[in-house]
Amino acid sequence: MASAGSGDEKAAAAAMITLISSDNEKFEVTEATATLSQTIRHMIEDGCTDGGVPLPNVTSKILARVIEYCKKHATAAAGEEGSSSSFSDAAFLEVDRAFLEELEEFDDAFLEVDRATLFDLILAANYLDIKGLLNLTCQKVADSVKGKTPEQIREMYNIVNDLTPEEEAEIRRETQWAFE
Amino acid sequence: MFLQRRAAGRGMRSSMAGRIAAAALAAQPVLPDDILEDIFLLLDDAADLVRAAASCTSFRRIVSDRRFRRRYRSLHRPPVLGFLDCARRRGKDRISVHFYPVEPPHSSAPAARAVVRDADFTLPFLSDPSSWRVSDVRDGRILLSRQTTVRDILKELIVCDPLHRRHIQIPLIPHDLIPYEAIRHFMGFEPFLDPATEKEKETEDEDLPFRVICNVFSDNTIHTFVFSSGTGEWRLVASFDIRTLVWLKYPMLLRRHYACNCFYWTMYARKVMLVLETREMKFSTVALPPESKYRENALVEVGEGKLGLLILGERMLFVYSRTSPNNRHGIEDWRYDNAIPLVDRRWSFGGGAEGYALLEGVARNPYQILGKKTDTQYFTVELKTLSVKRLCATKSDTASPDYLYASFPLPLSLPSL
Repeated sequence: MASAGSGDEKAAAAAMITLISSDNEKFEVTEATATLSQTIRHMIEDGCTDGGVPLPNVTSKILARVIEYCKKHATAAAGEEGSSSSFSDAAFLEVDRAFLEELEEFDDAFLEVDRATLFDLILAANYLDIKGLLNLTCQKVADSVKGKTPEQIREMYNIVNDLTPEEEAEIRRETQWAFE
Repeated sequence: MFLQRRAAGRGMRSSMAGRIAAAALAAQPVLPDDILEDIFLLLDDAADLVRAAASCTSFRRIVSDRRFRRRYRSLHRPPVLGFLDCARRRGKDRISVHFYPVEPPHSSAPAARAVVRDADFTLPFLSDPSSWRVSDVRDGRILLSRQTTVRDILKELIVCDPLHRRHIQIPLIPHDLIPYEAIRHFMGFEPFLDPATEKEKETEDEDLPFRVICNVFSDNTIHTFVFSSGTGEWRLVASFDIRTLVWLKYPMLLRRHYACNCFYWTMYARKVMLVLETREMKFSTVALPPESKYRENALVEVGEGKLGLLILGERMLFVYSRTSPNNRHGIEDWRYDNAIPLVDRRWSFGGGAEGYALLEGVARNPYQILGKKTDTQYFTVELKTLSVKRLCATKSDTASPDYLYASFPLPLSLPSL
């Protein structure tokens, strides 16, 4: 994020990176946005982003969402950096809090997707190595199974029960406490 | 189509896709094992983890993996399942350990019942149960000791794991390791268990390392020995001059606490406490706030390295804290944080652990027969969240809440020996 600017002019002047989805759609993003992905950051450092970065594992639909996330979080990060030098501590804390609240709202809204999209976002975040997005999406899945029975979890995620009756009986015997 | 998705940096070991017969029906991408593992690690409640694992064979395989369980245990504190009463009673010639499980509505009540069923607290491996006593309980282990003669400082020690029904004998401290002065002016002996460090909890070794610490008290010095299960040997690690703190030579009057990588010893009506920092094995003394004098105290971790001090007042629990648990600065380091009101009962502290203090509240009953408690309630106090939680109750009993017992139930729990 070192090269990131907080203003529009700076952003425009900053280096742009082209990301190419599996269905060949091109996305122009700032370096600040792109480098939220460690995978792309390494590619930039190695100087192999000329002519665009092909992402054969990410569809345009998912890539658009990922970029939306990165843009928001890159702006927030740049905003924090910029403000830390120009505000007093108290004012900075205020700005910080406002940013965090806004980000939280953004994240909540961002996660309002169907389960297939959520899984695709997890896979993309993993492939692109975007820690924040991976944590956010994994937490969403974890939260969704809390308090649920195995039957409910199977139904929710289209999981086929491939346990034998003997295995199921063994599980019940060993872990009865988790089902009471 | 989703099988083609390979993680770049994280290496996909295998996929559950192959195991789902009707994958074509599921219009949903499939997550690789390492991501599923990360998701399962986010489940704070062990019951959620166990139920998720019961969904299909691949989930079950991931959660059953030993390495996964170690990771889970390093990230999540084991739930409090109850307390152990290890008191010796008149008329009983043998050692007895009684487990009091938490009761509904406590969320761990089902897990505690499973431990009642699975664990063996009768210590059946002791050939002569009358000569042994419980010296400590921690991390699912019980430390037993016996002293064959009054002057015998070479105590026998056994560590056992009641849930996994294992025990091992600890060798005696070699005689030549004990300074002559400690033998000549011997006052007492205090063995206890050193809590597992974060690093140790993550170990993937078959055997979990543990350490037994032993303080040997003499007229003017405390000598501290450490036994490590890794090396199988005792070492003399610290000696502390107590000539200016003569009360410290009576180990039977001291109360031991643990928090923030330090052990603390307090004594009723004393203004200072003894501190042993366990990473460097250094002793120091720390002054206590004047309010703590003539009152019961408990030391509990607050979080972020802060040490909390609970002081029992009349129908009130006072909370103090300090950022440096073991430096010598004066009482001004203590900060008064809070007061928690208590209902009208006779309150006292039991043995806390894992960031919890254990509170016993005996009902005030005018018709009470002397020595008999009626309707006694037990609570944990956690300073991190400032929450008080009811564990269980006993009726007209004389339970002694010596040690909190926190453990994952089977099969999530791994043998500690």
